[in-house]
Amino acid sequence: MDFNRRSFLRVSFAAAGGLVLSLYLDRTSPAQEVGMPKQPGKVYPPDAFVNIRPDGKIAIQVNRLEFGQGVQTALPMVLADEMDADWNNVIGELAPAAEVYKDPLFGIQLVGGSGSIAHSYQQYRELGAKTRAMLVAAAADRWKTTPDKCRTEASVVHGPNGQSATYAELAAEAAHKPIPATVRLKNPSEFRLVGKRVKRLDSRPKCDGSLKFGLDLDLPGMKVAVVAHPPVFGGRVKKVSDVEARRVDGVRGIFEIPLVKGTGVAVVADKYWPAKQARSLLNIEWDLSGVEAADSTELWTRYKQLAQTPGNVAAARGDQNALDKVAAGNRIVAEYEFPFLAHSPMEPLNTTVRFDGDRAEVWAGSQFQTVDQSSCPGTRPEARTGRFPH
Amino acid sequence: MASFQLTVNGQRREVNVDPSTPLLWVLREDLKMTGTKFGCGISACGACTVHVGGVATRSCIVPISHIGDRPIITIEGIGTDAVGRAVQDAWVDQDVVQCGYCQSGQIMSACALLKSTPRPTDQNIEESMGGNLCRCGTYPRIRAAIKTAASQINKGAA
Repeated sequence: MDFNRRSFLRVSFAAAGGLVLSLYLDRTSPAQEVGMPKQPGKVYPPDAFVNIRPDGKIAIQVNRLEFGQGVQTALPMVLADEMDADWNNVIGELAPAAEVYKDPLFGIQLVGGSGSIAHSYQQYRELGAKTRAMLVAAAADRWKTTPDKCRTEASVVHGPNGQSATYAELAAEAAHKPIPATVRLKNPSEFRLVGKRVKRLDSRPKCDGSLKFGLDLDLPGMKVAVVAHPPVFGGRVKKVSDVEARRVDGVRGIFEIPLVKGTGVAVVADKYWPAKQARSLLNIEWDLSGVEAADSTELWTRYKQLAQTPGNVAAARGDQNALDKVAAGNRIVAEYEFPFLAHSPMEPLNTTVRFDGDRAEVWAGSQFQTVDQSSCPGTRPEARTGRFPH
Repeated sequence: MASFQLTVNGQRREVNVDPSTPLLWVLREDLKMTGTKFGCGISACGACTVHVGGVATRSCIVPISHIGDRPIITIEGIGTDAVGRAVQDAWVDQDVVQCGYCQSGQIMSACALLKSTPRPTDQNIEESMGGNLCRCGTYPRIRAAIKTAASQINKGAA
């Protein structure tokens, strides 16, 4: 948890470019056991998810990655609704890879299975409601009244006698309030954001070129590597002639490297263009003797045979034999064949690693941050860290 | 290596690079302007579109030595232009973006279209934007946003 908080604070400082008021530091409370199942004993401290800044901006950490599916807007909506935060001042930030941001159900930090909202809806509602409760408790103290006599709207707490205080004004006092173990969640009829249409939070930086994707990262002294892959999976480098490639200005090294299957040749250069030029000048003789000789016709035959065998039952509902009772003339039978398709994101797959011999910092377009984090080879677990901008 | 004088978004810039280096990589790596995206590197996707001498150009295949003195406008600079600003605003208004990776190129192509054809038909849009791929499939909203921007610009001009 220590590491989580450090990286979280660092991200927040960087994003705000100044003082960040971090709420609810270093305290925990038992998770509220309602709704979706959680990891046993899992605690989600609001300070890891909500930052109320002195300027009134409320930054909400999103425990997913934004691939265009809209989660960078959707989860902040859920939290901001229960918190009664002013939506015009809500910022959605992508959380770094860390324990506290793991999916409550899957136990890893990931985007997949269309589970972002399904698994984190309850979690984000509770986080919003608990944050609100702490702000209200602070206001009630200030006005010598009780929380039930206060109401909240658009990042302001209103008291019984016309008092009012903004969330930013109350944040420091709220930080000393206990995190409630349980909170009342809104009745859906009370929702101000959930179920309503709002504008995406990530549009503008995607329209003016300012949003940084993984490939846009620029670190001092960073090198660029490109890989010459074998023409088929499993091919291996038999012989490589790199005399010409090494002559390209800016090339720093050429290495044979292991791939998931087979081997390839990596070209490392100061910049992309010399790396790519050098790669095209490599003369590689490939050993294809060990590759799997896949045959499309044979594969389809095998798939069709497999399709006739009983599979694992995920759910059984209704009459499994209903089709047998339909007259042959009334049946419509069709076969669908789908080829293998790549995800083909527009951004070429890329990874940046800053490695000082002991500590690796990784930036990658990734679906599974904490899995990638734990698979960084040769590093001590506590030395692992990760930031995955996109 | 050779020295090249460029005008990028109205500013004079000098770079010292291999003459074969595509404009895209000069922008991204030498000038640190990463708003212009690398998608395919073979002029097939349009993510790298910029304006060179006012013409929408795939910067990934144009060597820097071919630019000459033609001014370059990128996504970082298009917002200072009335058409560019209207297009960016329309994009936000219509919630066009999803992952956003292709959108710099989409916006640059849309701006080039609206500068030459202020009242584009669906066919004009298809012809001008056909080379800009979007993996998220935002095409219907791109079309709507171009029309929104066009009416905004023409309102201003009238």
